[in-house]
This record gives sequence, C-alpha cells and structure tokens, in this order.
Amino acid sequence: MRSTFRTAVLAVFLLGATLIGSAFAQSDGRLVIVRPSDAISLDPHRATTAPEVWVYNNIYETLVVLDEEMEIVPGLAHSWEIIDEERTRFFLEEGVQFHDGTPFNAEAVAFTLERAIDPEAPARGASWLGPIVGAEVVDEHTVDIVTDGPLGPLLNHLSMVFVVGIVSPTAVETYGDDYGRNPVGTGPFEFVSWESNQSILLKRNENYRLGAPELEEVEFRVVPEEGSRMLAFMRGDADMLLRAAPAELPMLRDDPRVTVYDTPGLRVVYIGLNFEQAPTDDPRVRQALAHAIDVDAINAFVVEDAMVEATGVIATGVFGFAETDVVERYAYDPERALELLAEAGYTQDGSGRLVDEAGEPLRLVQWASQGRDLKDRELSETISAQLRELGVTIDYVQREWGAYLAALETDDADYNMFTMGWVTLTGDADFGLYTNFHSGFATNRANYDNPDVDADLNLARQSLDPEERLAAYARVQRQVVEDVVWIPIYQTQETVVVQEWVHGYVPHPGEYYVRLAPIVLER
Amino acid sequence: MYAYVIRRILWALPVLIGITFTIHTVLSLTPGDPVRIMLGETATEAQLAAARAEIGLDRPFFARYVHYVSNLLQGDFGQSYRNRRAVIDEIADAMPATAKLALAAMVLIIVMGIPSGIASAVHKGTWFDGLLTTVALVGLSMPVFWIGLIFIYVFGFHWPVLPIGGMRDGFASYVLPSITLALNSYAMISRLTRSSVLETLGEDYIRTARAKGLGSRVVLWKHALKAAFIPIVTVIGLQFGLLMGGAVLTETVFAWPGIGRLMVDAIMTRDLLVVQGSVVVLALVFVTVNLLVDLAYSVLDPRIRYS
Repeated sequence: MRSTFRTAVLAVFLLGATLIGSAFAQSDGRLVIVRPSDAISLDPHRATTAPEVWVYNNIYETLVVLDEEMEIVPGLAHSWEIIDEERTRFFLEEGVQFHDGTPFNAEAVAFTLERAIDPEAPARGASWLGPIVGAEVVDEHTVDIVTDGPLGPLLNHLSMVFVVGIVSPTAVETYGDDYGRNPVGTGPFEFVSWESNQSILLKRNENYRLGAPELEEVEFRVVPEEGSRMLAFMRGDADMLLRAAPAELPMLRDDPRVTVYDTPGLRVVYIGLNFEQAPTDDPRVRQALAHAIDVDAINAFVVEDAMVEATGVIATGVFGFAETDVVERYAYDPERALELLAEAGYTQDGSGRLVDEAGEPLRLVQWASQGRDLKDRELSETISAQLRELGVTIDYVQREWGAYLAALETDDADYNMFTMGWVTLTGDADFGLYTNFHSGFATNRANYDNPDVDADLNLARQSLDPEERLAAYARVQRQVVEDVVWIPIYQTQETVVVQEWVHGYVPHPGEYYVRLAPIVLER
Repeated sequence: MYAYVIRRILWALPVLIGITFTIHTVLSLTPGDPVRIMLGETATEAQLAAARAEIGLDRPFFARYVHYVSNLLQGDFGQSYRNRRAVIDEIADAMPATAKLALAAMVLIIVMGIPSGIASAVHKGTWFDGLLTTVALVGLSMPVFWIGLIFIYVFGFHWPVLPIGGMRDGFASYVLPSITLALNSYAMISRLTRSSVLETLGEDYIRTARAKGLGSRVVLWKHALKAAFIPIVTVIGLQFGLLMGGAVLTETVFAWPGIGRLMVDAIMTRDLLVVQGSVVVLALVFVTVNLLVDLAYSVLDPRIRYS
C-alpha cells in the first residue's frame, strides 16, 4: 500500500516536471529575445521608440539603408540620381511583394511618404523628415522625392525605418486604426501575433527579396525587471538580451558561454549651458565648469563603464563627426576652474563658498531629467556634488522626463545647466548640429547664437557636395567646443548579448536597429 | 434585498463619476504634454497642433471631460493617445491576466491564511502560535519585489523547476507570482483571523454554548467561526480589490502582462484615456466586490438583514 502511494506521488512529480520542462523548451528555429518593455504600436507612423523599432525594422524596409558601417546602401531602391536641387529620382526593385501579396511599387512609396507628412495627422517622426515635401510617381518602379530646397542629408532621412518604413497601402486601408497591431511590410520577417506586454511573434518571409532568413521565427518577450531579465537569459530561456544592466556587463563579458556585442552608439549625453542666463553667459564661467566636472569619474563610478567617453558633441559614427580637442580642453582641473572663476570675479570666502565682490554667492540653477538616459539622475546629482565641493551654490531641480520636456519649453525657464541626451538618429550631423546649435531652432536649449555657425549649418544642410558638408561641420564642432556650449559626458554604447549558439549577428550603432536576418542558430 | 442591490448599483454611478473626474483633473494638471512626448523634441507647432486635434486634446478641459463621460455611459472608453487602439481592447488584453493572478493569490490567501489564523487562535500562547505569528510577521515585512526576486533566483535559477516570467507556461506560470502576491495579504488575513476568532471565543453566547455541554470542536466550527468571519470577509473583499489594482510590482518582477503595467506605461506617456479607462474598470471591480461582501454578511450573521 505504502509503495503504491509512493509510486503515485513519484509519477505525479515526474509528470509535473515533464510538463514544466516541456513548457520551457524552445523550438530549434526560434530566436527568443528578452527586452524591458513592449512596443506601443508596430505602425512606424504611430510609434518611434526602440521597443517597437527593434521589432518592426525586421518587418519593414526603406528605400535606402544605413548599414552597420554607417554607410548608405541600396534598399528597396537599387539606385538613384539627383534630377535637380529639389528632386531626387529613385529606381525601385522590381518583383517585390508585401507580406500580404500587395505589389511593392512607386505608389506604395508615395503612399508611405504622404501618410508620414500628412498635415492633418502627421507621423510621430514627421519633423525628422525636415524639408521633404512629398513623392511623385514617375512610373511603376520609379519615384521622385521632392524637397523644399536642396537637402544634403536626404538619403539619411530616407533610411529612417521609424518614419518612412514602407507600409502596405492595402493593409493600412484594411486595418485602419488597428494597423499598428497588423503590420505589413516587405522585410525579412512577417508579423504573426502580439500578446500585449508579453510577446510579439514574427516568422520568416519565405519570399524575401534577398533570400529567406535562416531563422524560422523570432519572439520578442517583455521582461521589465532588470534582474529577472538577466536570470531569464542566464538560464537559457532567451537567446538574446537587450538592455542588459550595466552592473551585469562585466560578468557577462567574462562568461565564455555568451557573446557581448558592443558598438559605440549615436547618442551623446551632455550638460548644456545656457548662454542667455547669468552667470553662464560668461565664457570664463562656462570654461571653469568644464574643468570642474570630473567626467572620467562619472563614467567609471556612476555609469559603471557601460558607455564610452564622449569625444565630441555628436557621436563618432555620425557622418560629419570631426575630431576636436574637447577632451583636453575640458580636462578635469579644479585649480584651473578656480582661476577662471577668479578672473570672472568669483573667489572663495572663509567657508570655501564662491562669492562675487559684493559677497553674493555664485549660484547656478541646474536642471536634471530622470528616467530618460542611462543614469541621467545619478550623473546630474554627482555633477551637483562636484560643483558644490568647488564652492558653487547649486539650485538643483529634477523632473521626470515628460515634465522635464514641458518645463524646458516654457518661456521663463531659468536654468544655467541642463542634463540632456541627443541621438543623431539620421546618422548625419545635420540632425545633431542644426537642431542644437542653429540660433533659429527650437531645440537649441543653450540659446547659442553664432552667425558663423548658423551660416555653416545652413551651407551643410543645403550642399549636395559631401566634402563641402564635412568641412562645414568640422568648423561648427570646433567652434561649439571652443565656446563651451555643452559639456559632453558619455556616448552611448549599444550592447547586445547573445548565447553561444547564436551566430551571425552584426551590431549596429543605431540604438533602434537590431537586424535579425543574418542570424543562424547552432544549438 | 433586490431593492438594496439596485440601490447599491445606482450608488456606484456617482462614485465612478467622482473617480473619473479626479483622475481626469490630476492627469490634466500633471506637467508633461502627451503630444510632445509622442512627437519628440523637434516636432513643429503645426505638427503638435495637428496631433492634438487628431486625438481631441485641442478641446478645453471640461469639454473633454463631458465628452468622455457621455461616451463612457454608452460603453465607449475612447482611443489610446499613443497607438489609437480602442482603450477597451487595451484593457481587455490586460485585465484577464491580472484577474487570474489575483484569484490565484486569493485562493492561497484563503486556503493558507484562515486555517493558520484559526490554528493560532486555538493554540494561543503555544510555540505553534509563536511559529505561525513569526511566519505572518515575515510575510508582512518583506517587500514584494525583493521576495519575488529571491523566488526567481531560488526556484527559477538555482533549482530551475519553475518558469520565472510571463504566463505562457500554463499552471506553472502562476506558482511564483501568486505566492509572492499572496504573502502580504496572507499574513494580514492570518493575523486578523486569529484575533477575530479569539474575540468571538470570549463572547457570552460561546460561554453559553460551552455551558450547555457542547464539545469545543462544535463550539468552534458551528458557533464561533461564522461570526468571526464577518471582519475577515470584509478584509478579504478589500484585499481582492487591492490585489487587482496594486499588483504592479509583482507584475513587473514576473513580467506579468496585467493592468498594473498597462497603467504605469500609460501614466509615463500621459495616455489619459487608458489610465482613466483602467481606473474605471478597477473601480467597478471594487464596487462589485464590496457589494458581494455586504451581501455575504446576511448569510454569515442572521441578525443582518437588507431592505
């Protein structure tokens, strides 16, 4: 009797273990990716943040592609020619079909672009297209992209899948507002299903124009908590880990069972200085602040070496990035900072506090964001502490990202310093420099106004000569560094971690691009 | 009885209107423009205005609120600002996950909490009572995210016998999140049961029952427990409501696709209608559970009658 009972208990236990075990098992041809948050929508016109672009950049394609070397290469357009300053003609691949069978043609390109810049309901990223005003169908496989004036970075603009990923017109019309849950493109993977906040499943496009991928399926799973995500990856539930915790990276790098792909990203996190607010309107004060902030210490101890040192105001991989002496010019040197502040009229009083001749403290209003860029709050607090140590009086104001963005736009924003990150998502310096340093642009939050810089930015935007553009951007970057508009802290490092059986992945500097078509699994 | 139920349901209406108005006001006053968050920093004023018009944010505060409530009364929760999906679809995706988890946790709370509370009361002052009290105290004191991560590490990683996130693995998926979610409430219910039973055991009618010569088992099970259950049922009802709305930490640690996470995401992007819709649904659950609790009183205590 007793042994029968024991056998029954054992049988139930084994059955349970088998059931649970089989539930964990994965299909051989399926790549499972864990990431922190779910997509908002898979319609490139509706949502443009990384969690959706990671998915849909495998569903949609663009006319041209920004490759891993940051070069523009053919995509759905095999070639193009400049017709005149405001018109570029694209010759499209023939015989391509969307996943729903709709033929890909010039009409689909025009439909996508018109939809993106529709004045009644603009795409979320419509502003990134700048002066692109439309597309005109020339014939079935030829389309003209029309701009308002010459646009140097046109090709980079057209490579942004998160604005102009070519959508199936039939599917958009069929699904209406639900298109974002039923995306249809021409890319290497087709959409299969989406369980909100849980997983999105794609399957390979057997008719992909460049050949069907090796992977049969891809599943994007959401695991919001950093520790849980890491454990899920380490126990083999997932093949790829996105947004690993910085603290875990050294351990992952030392683990022979996993491969960590690092590549410098396109985002620079910086401290901006306000030119219209005393005392940061004084170049000596700005230069002193650059010497007073210990960027190396922040990157080592706050950012935990997860990112790379910023060597400019735009990221190194961006077209137009130029070497400057920013690292030497802004080197940590508190003594020099105090000298410069003395020249500006601020000296330390008996208690070590920096005061002017009237005894008024050197007071800076520091604004900080929280929850936008990696460690933005912590690095802002550290900078605050470093400046206080020097004797500066800091009024520190910290806001959650949405509130921060709103506050920066108010007319009476009285900050001297602000923490911000900027991603040059087109891969062209125009989007990093024009937007931040042109006197007429709304996101020039330092209120920097230099006619020479404006002229060079205008020239580079409108020139169709790459050499001329590079020269103009180099001048701009040198000037901006000399004027101490920003104090760059770090350049992002895009990190993707995969299991040892995942081969063929090529990391991309763009934080949005996780391209899965080349991946092969050898379990 | 029926009149009472109908009256209670009608009472829910002003409660819901109050809740929607509060949420609408708070979120409208929260700094951060949903359209700016969606369209990014470089969007032009014209683009912002177009997007505002598209989602109805160009209308004044009260006009938006009246429009919302009149649509709500017709069962229309509106569309998400972020992705233009029907809010009811977003909620319908998330609600079952939360409800199932809350139910699983509730079963654990009842099955574990009440018996251990009774046992504690019956063996008051013994080492057994001390042990159960200690367990309850530990359950009350441990933060959910911490115990969740410990469970994940121990049963998901060190001894990988259970799934550690999501609900794709059927029954096994529920084990760790439901225990984690139940722990705090288990401790509370266990403590409450203990004190409630002890209090009832001191009542005159219990003394009378004992004086009649009834055995201690009969006294406990037939006379004492029914009356002792009234505060317990009240708290269980409240706890269920809290489990439905307050499971966000458990949902985050265990990658559970529930309404807590939907709401947090919606708040971060100022997706007002999704937040409002979720709160309305949760409030309905709360009101319904409370009504059921009130009705249960009359079953437990014959002295309570509704008219």
